[in-house]
Amino acid sequence: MSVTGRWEGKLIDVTGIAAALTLDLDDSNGEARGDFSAAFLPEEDDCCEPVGPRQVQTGPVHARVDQERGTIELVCEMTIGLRPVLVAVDGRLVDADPHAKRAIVGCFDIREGVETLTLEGGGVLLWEYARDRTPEGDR
Amino acid sequence: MARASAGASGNWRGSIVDALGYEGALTLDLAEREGRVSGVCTATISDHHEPFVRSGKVSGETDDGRLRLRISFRRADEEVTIALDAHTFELSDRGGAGMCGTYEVAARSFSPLQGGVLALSRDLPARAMEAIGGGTP
Repeated sequence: MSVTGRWEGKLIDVTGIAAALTLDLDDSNGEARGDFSAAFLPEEDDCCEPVGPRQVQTGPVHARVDQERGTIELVCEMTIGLRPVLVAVDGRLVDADPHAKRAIVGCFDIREGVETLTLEGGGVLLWEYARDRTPEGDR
Repeated sequence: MARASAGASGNWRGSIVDALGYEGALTLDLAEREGRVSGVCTATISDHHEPFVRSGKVSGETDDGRLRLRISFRRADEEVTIALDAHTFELSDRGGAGMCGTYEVAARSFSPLQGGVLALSRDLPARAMEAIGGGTP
């Protein structure tokens, strides 16, 4: 049950803020490392032209997978204004057919730097879609 | 950082995202008494054509900010039961409370939902929402 690959989805904060979230993970025996990017999504507005998500944060992500329980803990690290911020996700791996191969569903909370980030905590849903991840140059 | 837990009673409003790709709005109007929770729930799931709207009864238990709820949607031949596992917490400095959790569709006839996540708030001041300004850290 490796979690290696790209996971794409959404973060929804209890305050109503939403962000598009992407993880690229490389799993080695239940310990995964990689990178994340989060882009806050604009609120829907009937009066104006839609604008794309704004790139806000990127950084390293670490994950620990419990294969027996089907759970995953993710920790995203970032620095905002020289202050460290840690966002942790307690999730589980679920079937997402037919929308995607699998999904991570869970809750996130701010482990460090809550005074720096406008997020309070909420839900995270990340999908692993079926795709050929072979790099173009290797084909 | 551990957050102070919040009580379950009140009007909770927010969003859900399902593993099948559907998104929507969720409201929970809950009353708590001696660890028992009851109330009503309304889910509005967005679709390209018309939203899927269902209201149902909520029952469950709460203990120190942890909520285990069972939501039943019944209409004609439809019967959908959702098991929700959530926790509540006080927001950092803007007042109000938050609830986040995951849910699973425990039994279903027809439902666009399979399981997913939710994020709700209670008593969130409008001023705080304006100050957030779309989420710039």
